[in-house]
Amino acid sequence: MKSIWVLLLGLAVSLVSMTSSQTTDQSVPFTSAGIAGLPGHDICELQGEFPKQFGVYLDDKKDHAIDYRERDGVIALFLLEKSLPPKYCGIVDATLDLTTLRKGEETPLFKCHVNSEGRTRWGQVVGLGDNQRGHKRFLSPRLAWRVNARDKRFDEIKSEPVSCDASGYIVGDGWY
Amino acid sequence: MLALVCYERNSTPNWNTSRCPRDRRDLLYYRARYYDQSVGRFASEDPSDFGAGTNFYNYAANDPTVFIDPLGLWHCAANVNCNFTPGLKKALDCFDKCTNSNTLVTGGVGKRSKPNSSHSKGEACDVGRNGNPKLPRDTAERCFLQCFPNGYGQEENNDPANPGTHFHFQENTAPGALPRFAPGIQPYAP
Repeated sequence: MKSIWVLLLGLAVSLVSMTSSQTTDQSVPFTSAGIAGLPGHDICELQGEFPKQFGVYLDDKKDHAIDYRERDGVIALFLLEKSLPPKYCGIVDATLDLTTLRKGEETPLFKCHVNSEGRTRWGQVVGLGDNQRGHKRFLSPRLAWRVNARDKRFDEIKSEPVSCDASGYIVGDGWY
Repeated sequence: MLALVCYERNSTPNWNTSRCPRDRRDLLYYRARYYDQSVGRFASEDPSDFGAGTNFYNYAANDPTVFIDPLGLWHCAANVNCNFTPGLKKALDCFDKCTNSNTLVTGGVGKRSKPNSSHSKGEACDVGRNGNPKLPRDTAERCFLQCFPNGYGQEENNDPANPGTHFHFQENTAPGALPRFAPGIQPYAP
């Protein structure tokens, strides 16, 4: 009988902890200041909804992901830990505020690689470039970063040529 | 057999769907919903919960000049195979409600579908911007977020013979990607 009570207590504790881990207070404004203070916090603490949002996983285990958010002229990339369904929240390891870096119709690109290293997984190298509203598939981004999950930062790639493929993210599933 | 009778003075039926104007505000009653001709959209909730399939609307899809369906729900352009999965149909029902429009699906299980692609499996559709001129990208993104919680979407160029772009919506996200809508416009890449 005692063991049943212990079991039930354990179940209740885990339910409470699960509920609290999925509940986040949306208290961080989506501004450059808010973004700068986000590392160490859950990305779901950002206020409001994000219709402009996308991301790619950096590894098969889905330990890390690059997440893109944009709203009201503010645009940023986030390196996340364990961004999983159903809410795709996750602890922010690093941020890259593109708000003042973006020019014209540039968009973030997740299928990039350093030319001398050959192609790599989506999200390992990210760029910012203009594919001329879908008229250009391959381009050299104006700015590029290597995503450093180990040291939790974005390292700008300055001296090496980088290429990006802007063809979208359904290649693995086949184009129609 | 049902006869069409219009009671109101100076009213004429809309022959596309055999319905009569109902009142002075030009609201047409399409069996289940009011269609406001002045704004070109439906003014009441649709009954999509009845789960009607696309076959129900075939008469509209078969005529390239008629894109209005009896219930005012999403429908397929002529020659488009909309043999979609139940999940995609449900998501499109939701999308129609969210956008408060009558979405024209311009691409489905097409001739160009690659084996095992989302299109070939009936899990994806294309919604052309030329055929849906009142559907801005912001609305498409917002409603995609609401109606395709595990899906992937992008705006991509049409083939060079058809200038313009279309939205690609798929029920499930791409392997290696989180759900949602890709930034920018993707190139035509057959």
